[in-house]
Amino acid sequence: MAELALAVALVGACVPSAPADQTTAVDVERYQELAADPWIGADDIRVARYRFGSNKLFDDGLASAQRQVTGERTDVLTAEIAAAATVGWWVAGATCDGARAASGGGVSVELVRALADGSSAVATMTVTASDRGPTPMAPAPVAPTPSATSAAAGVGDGATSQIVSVVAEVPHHSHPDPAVPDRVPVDVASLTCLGGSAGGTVGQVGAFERVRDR
Amino acid sequence: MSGGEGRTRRSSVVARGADRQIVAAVLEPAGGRRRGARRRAVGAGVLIAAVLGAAGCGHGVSRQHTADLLGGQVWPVGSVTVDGTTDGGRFPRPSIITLSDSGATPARAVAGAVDDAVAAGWIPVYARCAGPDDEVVVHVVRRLEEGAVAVATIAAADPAVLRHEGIGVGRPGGQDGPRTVVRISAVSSAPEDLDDDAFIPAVLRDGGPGPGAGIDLDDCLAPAAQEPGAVAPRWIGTPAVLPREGGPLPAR
Repeated sequence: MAELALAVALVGACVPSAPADQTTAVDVERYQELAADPWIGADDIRVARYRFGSNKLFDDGLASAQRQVTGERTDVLTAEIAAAATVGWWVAGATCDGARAASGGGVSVELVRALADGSSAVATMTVTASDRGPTPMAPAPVAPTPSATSAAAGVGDGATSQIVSVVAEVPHHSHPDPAVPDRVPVDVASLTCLGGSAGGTVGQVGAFERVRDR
Repeated sequence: MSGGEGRTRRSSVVARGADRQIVAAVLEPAGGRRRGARRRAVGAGVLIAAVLGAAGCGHGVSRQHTADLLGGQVWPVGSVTVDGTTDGGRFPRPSIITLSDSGATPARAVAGAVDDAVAAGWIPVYARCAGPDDEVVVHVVRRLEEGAVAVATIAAADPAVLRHEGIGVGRPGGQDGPRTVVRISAVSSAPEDLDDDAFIPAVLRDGGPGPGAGIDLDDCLAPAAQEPGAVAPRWIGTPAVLPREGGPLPAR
């Protein structure tokens, strides 16, 4: 029994404690900017912090959201990009998700937004076909109005549905800022998997990965 | 603070257990002392315990108390859980999560839940919606008591969407299943949030929500706003998100 207690104590002593500056006011401000972003509309969020138990590793701040939208994939992508642009996001690049992309699989778009402190947030938006099938018919309203009637008639026509996933990251205060590419127009619709001829990637993607590789 | 609470446990046990340990330590003197000295020692011990308790619970509010405040609300009705870790400065917040079926469209299902929430004193501050069959999300907030606040997310979507998001639903969708699943997730502030409101949504800081903080949901949820074939995401207001796990707070 004593040996077991000693072993537990030794193991416990080997787990590094979190450094006092694992999260600072810089990280909190970046957290608050992600939390208040209406395009993301985060379902979950966490502040940048120490990776508990690691050897001086820190996780970036993260906000994520997922939603379902009715429409064709290209239309949904275009609409989401336009909506994101209204709050400062711009497209750095986009890529087809391998072989599945051509048959309704994922298309990933990387967007960048400037933060108030001069750093940048990077969001990866992935749009994939939903597995729910055609949109069901809407039930008739109890007291139909002209607009409600037309709305009910407009759905149930086999429209496709997409799952939009957004994961936005902001750097931990000890990490370098993301290597944001030059701001040039990126034509996402020209991706080969969306019927275009620009290939499987347009623009630049992977700003955060490049940071982590340093 | 509650840094010594350990891992993955219920807060009620933690708070009461800690108090018991402190009191027990105070009430077990080395022995052989005179009664007067013992009284003084007990008195000093009780004082120290009170100071430590107040410091550890943030404004004197325990995690169990904030859980009770959330569970005592008229809406939403459900079991309060306070599960989570306190490793590395993180801390759990009390929460209620409910899932229910509806035969209505997502917008109508959410509208019904929002009506219940507003009648119970919650204030809608953010809504996201698009077409008539698209997922709809509304954030509502309220102040509880003693400085505590709560945020609830009301979301409605096709069951297949929730399965895609890893959320289990009671019955499969389709011809015989529910058309819409409504998910309500309510989270209240933790004692740590009362010491430092860094992660509290802006609308709830400084005594908020102030007058005019509420939004008009007609542009999002009314039948006239549900245009067929619309794919443009729309939102009103500013999100108010409070995850079930908080921290770490910045050092002061």
